Amino acid sequence: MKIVGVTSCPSGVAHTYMAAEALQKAGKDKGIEVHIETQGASGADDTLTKDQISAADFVVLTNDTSIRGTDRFKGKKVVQMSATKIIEKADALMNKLEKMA
Amino acid sequence: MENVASFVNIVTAFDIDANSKEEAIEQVINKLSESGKLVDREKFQKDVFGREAELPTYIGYGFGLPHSQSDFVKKATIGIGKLRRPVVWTEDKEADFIFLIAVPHGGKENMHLKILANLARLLMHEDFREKLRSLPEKGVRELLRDSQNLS
Repeated sequence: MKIVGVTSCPSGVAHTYMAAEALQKAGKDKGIEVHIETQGASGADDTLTKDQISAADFVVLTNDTSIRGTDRFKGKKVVQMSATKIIEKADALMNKLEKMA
Repeated sequence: MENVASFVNIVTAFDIDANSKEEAIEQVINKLSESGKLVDREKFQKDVFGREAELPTYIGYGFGLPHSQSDFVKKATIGIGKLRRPVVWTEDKEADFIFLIAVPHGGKENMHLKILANLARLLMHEDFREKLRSLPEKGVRELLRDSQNLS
């Protein structure tokens, strides 16, 4: 299974990156390929490539603040969650997505 | 080589005696203020509490992560607070460790944001959290300084 995602949060200083790390860590633990773009106070990092997006089974987006460039995910299965929830429950989310895949 | 540690200052308060989240955060802010990291202590505190009211910054594992990118910050600083006993952070969640992030506004220089982003990522790792909890005050400051150099 492959997952891409974009994380962001109101101040863009902390939760953006913790949510990204939580998803990447949970993916690594389960052998799932995960690519996360962060849209934080210092701009976007690790911008997703077209290939990464087209290969992904699911797209995970935070919904605390609006994400730029969501038109890139047209036609994909998108899951939206708060950054806080992702930080707390990234493992559970990966399990759920694995079952849905 | 540039001295990376100068981008983000570390301030610690390791014996916080507080009965509420607000009291605990105030004591960490006092430390920042005493060491000259703030432009205006009261206004910065208002920004931090404002962010906290918007969405509590509990991140799990007994950690609270209050933060603000504020006009009233002089230099990017992390204030680490260790509490004598846990305080209620939000609903049924208690925290006994505070990681207060203070970031100034403006400027094209965003190295401090990159460093803070990296530290936020580190907090998601159990071994890093365990080190923060087990090390003495000086050790924690060194750990954070070393972590900045890795980013």
